[in-house]
Amino acid sequence: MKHIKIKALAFALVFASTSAHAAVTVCLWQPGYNTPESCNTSLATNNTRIWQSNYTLEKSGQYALAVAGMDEVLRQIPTHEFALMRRAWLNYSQGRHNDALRDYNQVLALNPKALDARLGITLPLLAQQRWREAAVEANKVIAVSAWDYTAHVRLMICEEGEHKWETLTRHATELATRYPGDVTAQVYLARSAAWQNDIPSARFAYLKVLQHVPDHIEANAYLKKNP
Amino acid sequence: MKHTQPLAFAIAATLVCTTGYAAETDAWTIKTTPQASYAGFSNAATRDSIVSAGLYADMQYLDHGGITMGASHTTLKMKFGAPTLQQNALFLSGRKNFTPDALPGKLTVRADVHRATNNDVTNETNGVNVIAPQVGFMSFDKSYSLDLGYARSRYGNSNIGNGGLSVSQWTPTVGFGFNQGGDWLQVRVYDIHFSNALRAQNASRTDALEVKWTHYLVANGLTPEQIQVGALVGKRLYAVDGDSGALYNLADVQRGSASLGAQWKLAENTRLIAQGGVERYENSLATRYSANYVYAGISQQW
Repeated sequence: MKHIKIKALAFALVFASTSAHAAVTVCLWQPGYNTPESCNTSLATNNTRIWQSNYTLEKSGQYALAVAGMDEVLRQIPTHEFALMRRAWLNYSQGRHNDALRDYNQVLALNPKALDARLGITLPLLAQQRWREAAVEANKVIAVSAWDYTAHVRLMICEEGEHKWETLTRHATELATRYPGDVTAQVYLARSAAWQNDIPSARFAYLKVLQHVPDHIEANAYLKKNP
Repeated sequence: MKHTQPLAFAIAATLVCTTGYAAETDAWTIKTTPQASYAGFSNAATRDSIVSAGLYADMQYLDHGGITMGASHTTLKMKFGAPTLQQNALFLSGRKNFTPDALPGKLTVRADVHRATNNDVTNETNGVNVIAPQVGFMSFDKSYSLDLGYARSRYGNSNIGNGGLSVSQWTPTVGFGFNQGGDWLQVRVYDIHFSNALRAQNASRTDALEVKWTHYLVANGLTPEQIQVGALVGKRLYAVDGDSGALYNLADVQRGSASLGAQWKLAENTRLIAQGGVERYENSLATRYSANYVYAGISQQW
């Protein structure tokens, strides 16, 4: 009975949206229920166009227009997680960090398990140099996904921002062990050693950086200054 | 069943509490700084020495803001058997940070409260209450800072017929970072107005300029992580120092000062701060004297 009701609601909304708001197709379905066929069809047509144009606007740097597109989606479905995520990213991309924080927080309020929103919110926090809050969010991701690469990199940025050089050394060493093919951990390892005036360790790490990226500006500059 | 339910509840409650505690611990950063200072006076007509000891505790909540509390006891020993002055002072400061997108940095709004009581028989330095709001801005790249502070101080009514006293202080401040963040220069103006010249060594206002230069180093063994040189020119009386949370209610007119300080990293979360300097004063009889002081504090982040 419940299943039929949801289906009926979905159909009704699809019809309503195609007639009144052709730009946006509203399709509601619940986890555990089959997605209505018509809903799939509309997602593949109208919705695709919305997202397509949104990505095009983003690509051409027209963030305000892209945000307006997401505003329209959210006007009809205020709880559309992905539209909120998109708007958060677009707001962040145009330097509207507080708007981005609001959007990411809205996603997290809807879905506290959303790891991508948790990682996303670190971006405006880092841009505002709110190192501690960003570190808390990165740590929440690490708590459920122990070696999430992005979370660890964001956490290292926080440690650098707070000048926690010993912590950064330990952290970058661990990350370099887990991701031996990665250059970022080596860069942070080198930086933390350099800040602690540990020139041999910094040189060693920067030389490793050059193995990955031979024309790395920072590594070359340090090695030239500390031959 | 009835027995297991409370047990399950207790375990669940314990887990919730434990998780909550861990989160709170992460969110708050607590720093304590016990500190002490000593100053010996040279060429002073009445003053011998001043000793002060106190404890400051700072609690920072994430990047949102924080609270600082402090308490200190000061003993001012006088010459020729004059009674020693004993003072207790309390300090409370709250701050809130803002990061509006329109500004290229962090805005901090802060409000300090000072309270000092002592056994001054004239009551002129006793019963001091200060409220000091401040708004500050620090650019993200740490290349400059601006702040404007105000302090309104009320002193106790004189027991020797000199009336009441209130003091208004303005402290516009600019700071500059240079040498790729290796140095910081801070310049602060103290513009202080007195409601009662009789209580302010016949002055209605004093003006002073304070300059502090901080050089950051790579901490290594005995090498400190920062050294600071400071100087003050002009005249300053009944000042409120927002940086140190100090109240100059016991001092005569300050006519300049020079200081040298350093901060050593003892452990990842422990710092030793030491400072020494000389402050020149002039009392109501136009006698000039100086105070040579040393200060030490150990700051521990928990």
